[in-house]
Amino acid sequence: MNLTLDWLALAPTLLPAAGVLVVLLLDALLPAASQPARVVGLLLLLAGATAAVPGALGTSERPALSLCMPGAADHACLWSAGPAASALQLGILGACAAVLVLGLGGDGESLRDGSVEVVLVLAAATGGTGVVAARDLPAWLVLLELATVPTVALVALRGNARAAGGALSLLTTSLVSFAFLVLGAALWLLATGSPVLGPVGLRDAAADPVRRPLLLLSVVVLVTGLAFKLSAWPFHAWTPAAFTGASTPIAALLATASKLTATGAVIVVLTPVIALTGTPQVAHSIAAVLGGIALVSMLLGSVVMLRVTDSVRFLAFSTIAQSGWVLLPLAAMNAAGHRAAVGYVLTYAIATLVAFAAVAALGPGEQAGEQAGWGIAEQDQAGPEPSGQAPLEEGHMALGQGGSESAGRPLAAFRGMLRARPLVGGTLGLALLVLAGLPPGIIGLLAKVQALRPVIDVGLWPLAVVAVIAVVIGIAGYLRWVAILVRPAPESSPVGARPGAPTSPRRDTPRGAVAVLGIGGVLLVATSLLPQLLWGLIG
Amino acid sequence: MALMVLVLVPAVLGGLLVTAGRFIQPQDAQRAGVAAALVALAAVVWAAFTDPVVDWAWLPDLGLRLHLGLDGISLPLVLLTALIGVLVTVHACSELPPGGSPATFIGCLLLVEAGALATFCARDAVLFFVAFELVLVPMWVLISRFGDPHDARRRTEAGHRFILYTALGSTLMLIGILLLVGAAHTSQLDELVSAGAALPARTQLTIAVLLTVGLAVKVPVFPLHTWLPAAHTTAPTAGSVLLAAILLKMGSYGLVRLPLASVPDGFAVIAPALGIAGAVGIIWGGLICLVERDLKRLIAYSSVAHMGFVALGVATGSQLGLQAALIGNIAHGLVSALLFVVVGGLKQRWGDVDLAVLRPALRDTAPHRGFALLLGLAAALGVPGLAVFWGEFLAIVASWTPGGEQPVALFRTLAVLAALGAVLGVAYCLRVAGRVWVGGPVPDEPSAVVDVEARGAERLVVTALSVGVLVVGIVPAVVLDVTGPAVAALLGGAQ
Repeated sequence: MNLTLDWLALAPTLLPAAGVLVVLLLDALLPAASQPARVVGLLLLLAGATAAVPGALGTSERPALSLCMPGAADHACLWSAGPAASALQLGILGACAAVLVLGLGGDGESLRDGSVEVVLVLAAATGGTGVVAARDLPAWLVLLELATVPTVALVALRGNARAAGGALSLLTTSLVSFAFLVLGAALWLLATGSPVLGPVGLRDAAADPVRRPLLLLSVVVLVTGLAFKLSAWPFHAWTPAAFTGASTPIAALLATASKLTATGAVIVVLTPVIALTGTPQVAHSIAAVLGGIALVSMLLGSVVMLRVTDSVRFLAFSTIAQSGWVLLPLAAMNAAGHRAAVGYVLTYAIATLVAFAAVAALGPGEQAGEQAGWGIAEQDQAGPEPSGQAPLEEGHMALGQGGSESAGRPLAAFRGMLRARPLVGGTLGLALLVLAGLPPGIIGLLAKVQALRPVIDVGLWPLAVVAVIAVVIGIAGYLRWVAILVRPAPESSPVGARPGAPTSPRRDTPRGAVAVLGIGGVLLVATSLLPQLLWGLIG
Repeated sequence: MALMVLVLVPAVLGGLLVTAGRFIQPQDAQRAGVAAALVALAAVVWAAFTDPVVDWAWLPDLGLRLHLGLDGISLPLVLLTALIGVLVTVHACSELPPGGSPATFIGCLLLVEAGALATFCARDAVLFFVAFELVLVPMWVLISRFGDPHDARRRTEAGHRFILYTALGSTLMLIGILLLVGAAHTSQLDELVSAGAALPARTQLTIAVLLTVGLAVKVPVFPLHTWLPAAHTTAPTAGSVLLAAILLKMGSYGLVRLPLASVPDGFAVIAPALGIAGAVGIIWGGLICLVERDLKRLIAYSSVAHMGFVALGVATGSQLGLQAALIGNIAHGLVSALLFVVVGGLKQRWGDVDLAVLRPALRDTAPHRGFALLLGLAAALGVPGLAVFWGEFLAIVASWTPGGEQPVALFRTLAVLAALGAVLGVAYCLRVAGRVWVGGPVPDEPSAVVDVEARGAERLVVTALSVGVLVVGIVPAVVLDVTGPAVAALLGGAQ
């Protein structure tokens, strides 16, 4: 079989893949130096991101195509990156680059074994950028696993009990979801007779009463399997365990690059299915499944956010709630819904990266904070800090163990941050308001408006009315954290000194975190003022 | 140009003051705040004469435009907002609540002002929603950080209640707006007047219900008012003034602009329900005011009663009813601002404003503040010649002869109920006057009396608001003549 190749269209995926090889080679030649590996990895990720820009600025009528069968129509191409897919590639590569930058800090949060982890991040980027554009089923499955498996290793590599627990729950859920995906792929092949996620054979399958249930089942099973990667209900349970088990940069990777990948994968599955809106039996069932998963996820995540006391766990449940918002516009089953989902997930990814950078800026956290019930300090406005905190902190410093850095970053540790460290506090506050959808985080508000719009336009407004409840609960959740930021720091323990003593070098905000906070903050402000900067990428 | 200035100057300066809070001296912040508010006011006056329009593509891919403009319905409210903006920033020169840096406080005041101005100027339904949300976070900071310093838990609760209720309302409104925009294929308010009216009745009804319920939270209309007393009681004086004088008006303005103008047939179906809720609010607010002990809370409940008249006026759907609602808006804005300034000052000095505690007569200890209180109360009970009278009187008249197809018997009953509510207003206003203005005996030694007189900037604010109450009361034509043609055009377009 002869394929026509467009190398430029493949560049966003090939560059990180090349990065894997280069970094491995570097590691073999210079085993001691991990810094060059990070720099090379970062450069190749940024190069890949640059390669994705033309596709994102293009038009959806003429997507970047590659691996096309000779003489066939557009849909016979096995690689199709329209503006939305290119924008997602851009986001994935940017998020992976930010993760590497976060890990460059050189403090307790830095990656343990530079080269290996850089390779794993690059591999996840390769898989992620590939899966959003791949159209043939086997490649799509392999790339999806290429995006998933490295994250399991990245969580586990941290090497403590919590990380092992998190990695195990990630691995278990990922295996179950892989089983679902393989089953879904098999059903797709059976129903359409085509190994391409495209319109070939789809209409016949939908028209045939025998094959229609197979097709329906295949799409539903594929979407359910992908719900795992999106942290959507009912496969959300791994999220808090894996986030708190992983180091902060890796948790950020799970929360952003993985979500962008998963959104892209869902859209790849659903794009050909849009054509079936003429067959209401199929379209309505899929919309019902998507809408149901979306609403349960956003309600569940928002409600738990009201009670969580640890910042990373908070972000984990925030991810679950936001995954519902990504899925909601997809229930509209039209192209506008897909664009809205991409716009939403990109906004979410920027804001979430900023939030994780703020957590990383806190430096290595206290141990075991969340189990001890920090809630008292948060629920009670003027309440004193729990007395056990200072000894714990000192003990941690004295022992100097880097064991569970992100375990126990209580929200209370951010108290008074807005005044004590305006860059961290202000940017984090803006990011939280973006996630909540409240001005001045206008881009978050517009993302919610755009997510609701297609759903309402196709007449599913009752779904939107339920989503209103989730909006309100979500606002209450995010404002808990914002309220802690704006609250004055307690007299006894000035927040500027936390988490280390004033003399500790750790008091300085890690440089990587500052870079991500700065770039992310600028992006959030710029897109809030000129939302076209973001939405223009999606076409 | 003028429109950009009037929105951007307070917004940018407010943002700067908030972000750079701790690096700015209080005096500089106060001066900057007053200057920004004055610039905004000047820009409003300028805009009132030049009638400018700003129309930029903001998010072209999705048809969202940055479209600002003024007409007869929004102009009085924009003027009121700019005026109150100047007064609250001037007031902040004499009273800075604890809880955070002064610059943050003044910045939040300016941000609320900017959001309200943008809301009233917005000519695009989605932009209206965005601007509507803009005031939430600064107002939340004002209540939950700068509120009543005595009770932290209640402050947090009041702030949360405010923002969650309002967010619930505005998100319901958003769904209504998106339904409307999706069905009418335009989001320009001017085009929606004709495009919305052409929609099928069922669609109109759904949209009208969503929009009206969403906006009724903000107004607030009984029984969705429960966030208001808590917010007013805890908010600092300037926050209460902004809340009563401006934020509530965003709700009633929205009612006129969106459901009534855009989906007239759907709104006509639910108008009786809105009228009933308004009338119940009048009676309910009045009854609570008869027994409420906290004076700030009492004024908050009287706001519920006054906004009940506004809701009733809107519900009649007639030209007179709308005129009543619009002048009622302005009147309530001035009177409640005056009362909150007077009572907020009392609360700050006395520590609380419990009516059960008989204090030395205000007429003797603080004649200026006492006079302003009496004027505010007289206006609130609807004395002819003062501002509120016109809103209440016209609303009752309009309710007696409702417009269109509205059930006459029901609206006449509502008119009677509203009149009874006005009588309750007399009772509670006189009760307050008796407890506070007449008050108890004044002790002989002056040192035993807490000095509560309004001085300096505060007296300036009180005087300005008193003059406003008198002017609108004596010459209501200053408002009615501006709104008249716009209301006629709105109703004409709707038919």
